[in-house]
Amino acid sequence: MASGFFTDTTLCIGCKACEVACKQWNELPSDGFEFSGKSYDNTGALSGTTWRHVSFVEQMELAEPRWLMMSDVCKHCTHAGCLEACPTGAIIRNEFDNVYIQPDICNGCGYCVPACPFGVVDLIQALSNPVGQRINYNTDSLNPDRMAQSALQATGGVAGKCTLCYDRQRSGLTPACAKACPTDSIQFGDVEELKARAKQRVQELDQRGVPAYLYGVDSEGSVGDLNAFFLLTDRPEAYNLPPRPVLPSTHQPAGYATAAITAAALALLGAAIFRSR
Amino acid sequence: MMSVEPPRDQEPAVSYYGQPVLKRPRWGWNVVTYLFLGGIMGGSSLIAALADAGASQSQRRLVRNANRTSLALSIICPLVLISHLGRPERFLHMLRILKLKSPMSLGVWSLVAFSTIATASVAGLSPPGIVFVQAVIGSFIAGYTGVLISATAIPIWAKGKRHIPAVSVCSGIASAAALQSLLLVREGDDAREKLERLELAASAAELLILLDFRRYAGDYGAPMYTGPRGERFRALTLMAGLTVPLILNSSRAVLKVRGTLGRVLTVLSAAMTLLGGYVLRETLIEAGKTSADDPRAAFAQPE
Repeated sequence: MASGFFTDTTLCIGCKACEVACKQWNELPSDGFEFSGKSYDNTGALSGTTWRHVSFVEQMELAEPRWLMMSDVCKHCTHAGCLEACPTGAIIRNEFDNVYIQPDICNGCGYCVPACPFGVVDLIQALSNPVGQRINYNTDSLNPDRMAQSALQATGGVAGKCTLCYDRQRSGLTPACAKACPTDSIQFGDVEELKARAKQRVQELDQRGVPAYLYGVDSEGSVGDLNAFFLLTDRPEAYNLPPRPVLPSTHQPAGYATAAITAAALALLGAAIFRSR
Repeated sequence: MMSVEPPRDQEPAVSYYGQPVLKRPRWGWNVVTYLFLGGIMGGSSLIAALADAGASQSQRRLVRNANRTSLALSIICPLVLISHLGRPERFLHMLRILKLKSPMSLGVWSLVAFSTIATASVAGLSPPGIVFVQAVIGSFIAGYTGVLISATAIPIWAKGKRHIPAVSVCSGIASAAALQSLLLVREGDDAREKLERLELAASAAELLILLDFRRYAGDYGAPMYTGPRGERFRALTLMAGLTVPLILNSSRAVLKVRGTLGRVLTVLSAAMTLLGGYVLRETLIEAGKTSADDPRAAFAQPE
């Protein structure tokens, strides 16, 4: 069974409970106290230590001004660029079909960072709290997964992103963000079940005159369907999502071919040069 | 049934407060240095194989120099790569698996194979003909770095999926030829003249591909070809690193300049080729970071 998230943006009220629950459960440090001036979004973007991010899209220029909110997260792609790029095998697809970074394997090469077409994964810098003190994590936890996670975050230097609460799922619990969401904007469950529910929701909204569509379902692109998909009411760009994400490994055949042709041509030319008197 | 296409009745939304969609690559000077040295290493092994059959004294010396360069760089390159890791003490995790889909994994294993052969051949333990195997692996190392960076979501790199790997090969061979001719500057003219003809060919191809990429990449190429970085790239790589050595090397070949003046020309053109090669790698990596910041390029990810 593949588990995942269905994030219904029409239900999001921008409370950021998901952000807080994620930080708390995963023992991730705060993003600091900075006012961005971009609506109520002071988080900015997903990062190595921010695994849920609520964006606030203010559209005051429309005839009917509106405010869109979306809780963004790692998409857990069917064909994941980060997983393909990872040279150590630290990034795996786990038994829940989620894309998971093993924190004790990752050596921080950084190749997954530009390989993500959604700009999700990033390297975790050595961590300190907002006043610059080194964070000491409590490793007395009984759960071995959580101990590994804490140890990684104390030292940094590895890649970080949403684990889809691998540790909670292994204990039969709902991921922290979905559990905390007060409006069920974030729903967790079997992906096929979620997709059926989401399609019904689109029809419902359609009958009410709200145009909506699913982002990451029945996709034709190289990334495939997203195990964490979204119901949106505006174009993907409005939420900072790429409309047609491309799987980076699809660039490889052309690259290897031109490299081989160039090398062969120069080698032949070189052979002629060195044979000549 | 399900509308996969977004509704288009709204005002066009350009982006989300101009925030970047993609994450900046975290690669700095050490990766730039590796791309540069790895190219020279691969190119040197190709030159060793090309000059292997040569009988003249300077050609034999060239083979020896090229083999030693390969060995030295096959020790330095892994160290530079290890220094860029977030957790350097875990570098051996690279050897847990071989993943054909990951150019970085293929590159690591090629480096392992290359340094093994390089050590064996300098120690005189290798079977005859192994230079050709090493040259094939070396050429792969010169080229895979280009595939590695273009197999990402960074718009300018992805757009360069054909150009960047080819440029990497050309630049590696040109830089290797430049370095080897520099090492032979005290020797006779025979091997140096051949090296400079090879350098001429590689640099000419590189210049043509880089000019074609500027046309082909269009707006995607802006981080590389415009602004202060673009000016620096034009001055140090396109002019000083490619055009000037092309003129020097071709006039030397046509006019058959030898002796002291020939040596001066060798030093000049080799130094400029090496400088241009380094700036090329640096420009590519830094332009990738600027490209990642541009949401409009990221929304139109090149296929």
